[in-house]
Amino acid sequence: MAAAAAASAPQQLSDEELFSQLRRYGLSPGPVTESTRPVYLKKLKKLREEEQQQQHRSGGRGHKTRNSNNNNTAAASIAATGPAPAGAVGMGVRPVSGDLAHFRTPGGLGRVSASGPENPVGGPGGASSAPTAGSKVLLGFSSDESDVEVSPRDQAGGGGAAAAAAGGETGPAQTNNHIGGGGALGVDSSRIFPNSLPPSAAVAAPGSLRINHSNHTGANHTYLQNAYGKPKLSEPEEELLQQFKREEVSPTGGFSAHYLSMFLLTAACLFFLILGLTYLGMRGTSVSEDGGLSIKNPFDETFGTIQENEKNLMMNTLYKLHDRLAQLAGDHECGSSSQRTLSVQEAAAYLKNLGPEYEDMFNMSLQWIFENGKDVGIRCVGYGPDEQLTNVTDVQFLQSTRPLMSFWCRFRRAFITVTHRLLLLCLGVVMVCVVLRYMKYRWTKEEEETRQMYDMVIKIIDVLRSHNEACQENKDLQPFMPIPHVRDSLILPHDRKRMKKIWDRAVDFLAANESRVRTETRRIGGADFLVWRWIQPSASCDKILVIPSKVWQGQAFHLDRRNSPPNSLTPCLKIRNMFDPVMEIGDQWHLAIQEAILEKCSDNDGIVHIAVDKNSREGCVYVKCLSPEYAGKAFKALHGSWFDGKLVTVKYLRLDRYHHRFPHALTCNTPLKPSNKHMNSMSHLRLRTGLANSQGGS
Amino acid sequence: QDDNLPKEPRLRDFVAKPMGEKPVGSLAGIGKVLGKKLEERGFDKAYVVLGQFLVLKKDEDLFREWLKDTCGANAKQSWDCFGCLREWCDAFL
Repeated sequence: MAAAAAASAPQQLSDEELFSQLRRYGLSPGPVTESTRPVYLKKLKKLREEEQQQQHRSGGRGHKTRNSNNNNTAAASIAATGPAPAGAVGMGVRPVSGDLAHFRTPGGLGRVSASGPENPVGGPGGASSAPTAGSKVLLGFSSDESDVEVSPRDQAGGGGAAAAAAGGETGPAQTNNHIGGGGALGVDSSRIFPNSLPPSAAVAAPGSLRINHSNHTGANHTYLQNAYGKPKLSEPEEELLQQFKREEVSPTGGFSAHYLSMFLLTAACLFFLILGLTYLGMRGTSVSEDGGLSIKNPFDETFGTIQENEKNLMMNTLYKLHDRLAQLAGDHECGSSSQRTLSVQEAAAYLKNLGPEYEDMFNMSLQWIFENGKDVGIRCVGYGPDEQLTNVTDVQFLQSTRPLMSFWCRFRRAFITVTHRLLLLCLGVVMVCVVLRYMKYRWTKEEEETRQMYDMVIKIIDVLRSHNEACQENKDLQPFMPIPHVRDSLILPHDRKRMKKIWDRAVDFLAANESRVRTETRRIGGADFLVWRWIQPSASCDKILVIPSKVWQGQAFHLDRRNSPPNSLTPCLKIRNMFDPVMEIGDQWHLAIQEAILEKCSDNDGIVHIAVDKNSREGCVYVKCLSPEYAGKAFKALHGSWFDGKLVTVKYLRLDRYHHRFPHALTCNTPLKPSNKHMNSMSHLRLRTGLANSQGGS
Repeated sequence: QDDNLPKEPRLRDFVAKPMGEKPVGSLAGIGKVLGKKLEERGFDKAYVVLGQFLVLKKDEDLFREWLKDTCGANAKQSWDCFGCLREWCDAFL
């Protein structure tokens, strides 16, 4: 294995060895000092474990050496912007060594590792020496491997060009590592510099760097080949697309929870159903036992005079009779026969069929049944159903009070009963649900209206307060405002009818609960108006308590060449950190954000499309302008400003990606304006600077 | 070095101007306890931590790992500190 030759216990590695080991994995580490050493050791350990896993997984290597040539030149010319090209060449060295590991003896490998520490590589400064060292290594192998033809000049030239270009790019390049999940990039690829190396090449190298960490066999040459084979736009496309996608909420987590709850619900219902059916089934079987019991017990009490054998005989008679009657009744209940009762003559005939001794006992047993007041399972009826029986001789029919039904019949009846009851239950539940939903709906509607009412109240207070302040400055104005005027200035005409109820509630609220506003009646211009007069409390407490939200609060730093691109690149912007989706309440807050952006860029007539991504954790807003110049103006106005306590950053997006995500924006070309003239989000700035124009520092 | 300040103003104050000789506790995410630990290791000023951040080539994983090992910062604290230094570098470097 490649690591075997130079590997020792990590703690014994010297700084240089650690450095070269990390380089072999394609990493481009910073200097290994006493403070960075532990972190790098951990990283090395992790890389080694991954490598071992990959080695176990991958079988033979069909790595063509011819392609290793391509790898080297490809590696050399691909310039990584953030990570130095030393890393790129390190990658070039490594595949060769990895490939040749299977063709070489460890002696050859010794050369690779030996040459490693020789490189005094440390950051971009070592870039120029690295290509030559790399070529040295390769030349060393070329004598053995005829296919590997690498001209040192190409290597150095490529490496040198790469170094120069990389050096130029490290300035403005930014590392956005926290985006690096899928694309695994150490660079901010969505910053588009059209006058640089092809972004695909820049992107492909770090991408392949990371991939090579995990699997440096077939994947290596296929990926690099793809870097040339595929169209150059695929990589940055992927990255940009992932930038968009990452902010979409993944719904898979929600699905599994939903399914789980449904499953549990059905399981519980099924369980209870089975329980109910079993219970009912049990009830059916218990019928016959009861009948037997009740006959036994009263027998001992009342017929003490009869002898033992006669007793048994009578018992048997009664049992037989009971069974016959029960069977008859069961058939009747289940619908197969229409006769429920057995006439006395038929009963006697039946008993005679069973045996002669039964017939004799028949009258006695009949008498016993008749005289026995309790329910023994057989009932004596006369001709009519309610006829009172006074004597045994009046008895005409015998009837079973406990029908004996077949299992299937019982089950069917039980099932029907159960179904009916379940149905009723479900109906009840559904009705309760409906009632609850309705109540919930009413409740939310009520809440919404109350919230709107409070919003309205706050707006009214703001208007009154600002009017009052204007009055302080301008003594000609009246110190009160007619209520209809306030309403008309706050509510758009097409909303007035809809908001009438809310407005009235707000007016009542102010009249009842707001001490700073007094309702009066005044005569203005000959007509009576209800007006509001603002009563100014002591100035200090007002300003301290009210912390306006969603306002622009100034600029963090001046924009210059160092922290913004020199010229506007595209007409599309991505503005970050405008909000925190977790903290926002309600449904309309995104409108406030849009308003704020429009107001901040109020002198910029080129914004044609705004979209607030409500789900993004980073608080992203996407803006499209008419042309890159307008976008540049907006960039200067927004980048680095403080909004609602958060530092806003802006970057450019590609136009086609923007249209892909917002197809609606393709047709937008009318400049957007803030919806009202109040410029609420700029109020802080106005107060501070006292000037209308609060965009400084561009 | 006030722990009770909400984090946002700290970030804002830090990024608003060159860091100069600010103490390490002025970094976002670094409170009293962490600041003390860092000082014990020799990182007594914010610019020293900045140095470490740059030496690790502004790599997020490496820096946050280092911060965790050095003073025991949790994920949020290291994220805040990293973000703060990155913002500062974006603005001034």
